[in-house]
Amino acid sequence: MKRAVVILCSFFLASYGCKKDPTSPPTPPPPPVVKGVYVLNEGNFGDPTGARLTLYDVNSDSTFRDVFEAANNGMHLGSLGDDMKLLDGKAYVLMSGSENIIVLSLSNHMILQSAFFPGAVPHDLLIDAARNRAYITRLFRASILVINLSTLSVIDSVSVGDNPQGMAMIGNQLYVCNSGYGSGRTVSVIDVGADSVNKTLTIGDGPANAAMAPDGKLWVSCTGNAFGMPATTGKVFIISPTLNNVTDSISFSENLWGSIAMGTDGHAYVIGVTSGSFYGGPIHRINAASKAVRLNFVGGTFYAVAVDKVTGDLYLADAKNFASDGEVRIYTKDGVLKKAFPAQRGPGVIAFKRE
Amino acid sequence: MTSTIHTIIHIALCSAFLVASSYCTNDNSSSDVVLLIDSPNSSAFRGCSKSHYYSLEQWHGRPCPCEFPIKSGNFRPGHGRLEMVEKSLVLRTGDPCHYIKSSDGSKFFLHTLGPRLYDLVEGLSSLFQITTDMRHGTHWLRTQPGQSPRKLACVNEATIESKIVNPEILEVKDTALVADSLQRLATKDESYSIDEIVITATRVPQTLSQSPSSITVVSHKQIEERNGSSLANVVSSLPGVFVKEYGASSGLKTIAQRGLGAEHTIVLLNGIRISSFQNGLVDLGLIPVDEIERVEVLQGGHSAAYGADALAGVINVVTRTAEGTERLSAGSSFGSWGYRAYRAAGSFSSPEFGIRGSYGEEKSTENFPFLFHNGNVVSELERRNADYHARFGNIHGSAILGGGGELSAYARSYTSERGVGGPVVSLHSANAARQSDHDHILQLNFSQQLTDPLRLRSSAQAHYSYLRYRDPNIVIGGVVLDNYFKNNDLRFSVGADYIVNETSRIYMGSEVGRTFAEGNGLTPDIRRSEFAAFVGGEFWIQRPPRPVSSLVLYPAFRYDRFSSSLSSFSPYAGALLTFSEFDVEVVKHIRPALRAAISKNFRAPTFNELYYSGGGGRGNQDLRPERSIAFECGGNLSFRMVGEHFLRISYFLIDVADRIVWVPAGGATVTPKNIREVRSHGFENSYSWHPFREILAFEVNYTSLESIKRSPDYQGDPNINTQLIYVPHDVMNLSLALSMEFEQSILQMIGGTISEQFVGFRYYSEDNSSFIPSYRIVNVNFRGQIGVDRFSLMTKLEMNNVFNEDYQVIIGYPMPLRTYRLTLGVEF
Repeated sequence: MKRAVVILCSFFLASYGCKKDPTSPPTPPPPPVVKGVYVLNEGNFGDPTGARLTLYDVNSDSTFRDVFEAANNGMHLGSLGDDMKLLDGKAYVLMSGSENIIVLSLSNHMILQSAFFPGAVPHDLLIDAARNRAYITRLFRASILVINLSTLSVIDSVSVGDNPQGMAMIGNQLYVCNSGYGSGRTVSVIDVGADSVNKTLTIGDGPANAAMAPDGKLWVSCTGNAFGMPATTGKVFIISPTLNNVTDSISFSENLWGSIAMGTDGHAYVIGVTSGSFYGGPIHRINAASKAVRLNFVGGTFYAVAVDKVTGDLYLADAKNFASDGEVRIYTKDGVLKKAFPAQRGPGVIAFKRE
Repeated sequence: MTSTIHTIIHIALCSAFLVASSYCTNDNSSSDVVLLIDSPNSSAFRGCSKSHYYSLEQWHGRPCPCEFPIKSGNFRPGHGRLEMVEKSLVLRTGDPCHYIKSSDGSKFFLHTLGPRLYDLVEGLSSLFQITTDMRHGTHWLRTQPGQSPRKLACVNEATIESKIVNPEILEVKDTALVADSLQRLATKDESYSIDEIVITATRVPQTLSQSPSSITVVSHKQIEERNGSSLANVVSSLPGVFVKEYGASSGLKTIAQRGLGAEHTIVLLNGIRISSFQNGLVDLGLIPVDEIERVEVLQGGHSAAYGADALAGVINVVTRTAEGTERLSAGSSFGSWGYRAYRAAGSFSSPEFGIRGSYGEEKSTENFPFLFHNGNVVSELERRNADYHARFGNIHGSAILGGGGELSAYARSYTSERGVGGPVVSLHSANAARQSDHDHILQLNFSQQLTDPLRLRSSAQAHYSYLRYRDPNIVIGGVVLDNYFKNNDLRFSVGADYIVNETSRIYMGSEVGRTFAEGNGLTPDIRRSEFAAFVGGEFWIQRPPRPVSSLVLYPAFRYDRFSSSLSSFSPYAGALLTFSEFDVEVVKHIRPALRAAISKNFRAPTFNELYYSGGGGRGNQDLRPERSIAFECGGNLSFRMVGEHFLRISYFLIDVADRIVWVPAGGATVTPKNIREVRSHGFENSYSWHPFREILAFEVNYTSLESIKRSPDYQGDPNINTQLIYVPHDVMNLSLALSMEFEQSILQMIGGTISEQFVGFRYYSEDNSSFIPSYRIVNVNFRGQIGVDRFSLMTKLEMNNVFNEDYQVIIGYPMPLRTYRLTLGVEF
């Protein structure tokens, strides 16, 4: 009898010794107002609170996590932070998962405005301050939304090509890269005065992002189509905005990730795709004048690239395959590592606060 | 630290168990079989003589029609008359048989599921002297002097053959091994035994206490005592099982056994595989409970029996068959958020033939409220696009052929259309995806007793499945995501069971299968053939050393060959050590047993993994199969002390190599690769107590495990030795079920069940930095049945999530708060 009781009691004790829930880290205090580098971390797919904002203070070499949560009583940005632009003391943060845009003050990171665009899956954001407008690509709607920057209300919608991603504005022309996730081949040229497509340029497989070079031309990075019939590799196309035609192109023997950034020293930087890695690849540098390519200018697996227009330093984000928090590394124009600072899950957008 | 405490407690528990075992005393009643065959005419026994035992009858575990060929009197549920009129008579009966009246007016009360043999024997103990061959479940009943031969047989889940071998001896064979209870009854012990249902999924028929692996069986009665309407609800509270639910009734529901994935459990329907080769899983929400007679859940590796994909376990769904005399039933259910269900069933049976058919519909808007949290801001939202409408029907027919043959056919059809709500990531999340499922199955089973020790089995199945998933919100390259998949799977198996002698039996067989797959998300013209040969057995070691009462070994081997050049050899070895029964003070009939099993198993890459070419992904035809080694050891302990107690403790370990993981491949696509090693190990403990026969049942089980990623997915991967996502460390289930039946009363039954499930926290990031909190869910139901004669009205009121727990199983997929469901039914 006693033996049986001991056995049963042992069983129940074991049953109630369940592992306690881990303790969530406390919300950090709000960071000081600094000149610095903002990193928008994308977060994992399906996580309602995955998008996070990190702030790096260049002078003190300090990093501040969960900047938005710290200033807004634990509230979260949302799901899948895909783009961010800084303008006039504000940050405009775009979430493709939760389909919203949040405007926050850069002086205290508190939320100023927000707006939802349900069903839009907004992916990229471009601000036209002169016209008080913003443009948002609708990833699965083959269109862009024209937004009133003050009220965040939708003014218009313009049809473009499949799966539009990166945009660039030169003069009155808005260039939209229609990636088609590799199967697209066009760039839509929109007259922003009329909010209509003037011209559609056919270039290469998977136009993903664009940037304006110092000479005023538009550089478009194409991923290639790894699963096309036949499969194609990455390319960079150079477009004249005057005639809206392709003036040159640079081919690669591998696919590109799609990001492109223009340096301050006459070079452009694109991200390759590393075999065996999941998100991103090494940095390739292109001489804008000679079009010469230096492959693996910086080796590694990078998910995003940005250039500090003041110092010329390269900021390269390593997403660590979204399996852990990422990291941003700072390189000189010559490709020498200066320092690194920790980011959060999926650092995808880097923006510089100058004042 | 906590896992260390767990380990210490489990070791202490096992040690206590072993100490208890060491106090076993020699008990001649178990180890020395006393068999009396007293017949002047031994030729009346088929193949039996004084020195041979009767062979154990192979059994498929289905209830049989209630009628049998007697010339007078009818046997009906509730009452009847029985007479012995033939020398060789197969007596069958089924559920419900409340009691049987014998020709002398005696009443023998039975249980809701139908009586077990011990019940009838209990009643007959005044009429017969009982002698038992415990090993083979053969019982000899010698008529008491002065008594005229009479016979009653009503076992719901066994076929009883009776033979009047001479006016004094009635031989009865029962394949449910409850011989120990008979022995006790013969000594006028008034105790009773826990259900001894024979498992059919183990190839070699075994009972729960006989198996070297962990097995759990959910009977039809237990299914009725639970809430819910699908297979997911039946298995979600079993030890070692975690059901991943993607939100409410319309959401996908997949099983995770022992910390592995849905693709590591093979699902059988009446012993034949229905797991999809397309995606490797079964949506447990698409199998309604209406057609389920019982569910057998085997834990651990069983590729030696069933081939590909049985790394973590096997679920065998045994479907309902004809239930006795003509019966019709109908019912409807109403519940929260527009839930409606309608069901109708009918059955007819004779001693040689039985047929049962049923049809049902189920639908709901599923627009349940839930809480959306953003920091400290909590908003109540309404779930959208989660509606569903399902229609299902099945028909089962069986026939007894001459010469010990049985033929059965089963056909099933299921169609559903549902919204796919998707993850909720904002106040305005609005997924518009829709999914259609069609699933049709036709099975034929045949078995024939060729000679006394040799039984032939054969089965064939045609399985058609169709799935269409469309999401108008996802357009890639100008094409709306609209994928369809069709699978046609044909398989045929033939096998034999051979009883070598009283201490050994073997089974062997062969399977062939051919699968055709088609879909706009697959490369064209996919087909795969497979061939398998398997053999296994059960071997009792002669005269094991005391205090061991029996030592049984269960070896098995299987060879699988696929047309894609994939082949695998899967061995299995199991052992079961039972000790002699003993008593300690008020604790009676303590029966300990130790068991262990080790196996090598494999999972074949699915068609999606090999051939997918739709939006966002690409298959990889260079994939290798996943491989695993599974080990399990543990102990069982049953005893009586104010009812029946059963305790089972298991430690398991599964090492998986070459696990297939979908990884990004650039260009916003993913592709699968063999990159991962996983170790899953832990403890499963279960305990049940039946204090008052089947009136009250208390059950609790607790599983604690770790499922660890042991290899890097890429160079420099920092996440090694992290817990896999969505695998809880702890799951505990408690239930208390009450079911009281009344005779000769308009009120036939009242009952209720309260159950609680605790699920520990789950990580949803690979570096284990983000987690979903633990939750506790309490469900209750109340049941009642009234009726007169054969007409019954039943009602069931269910309440799920009584305490309004706000929880998610998968991040972003809210689960409903408190829900209600009322079911009304009529039966005659």
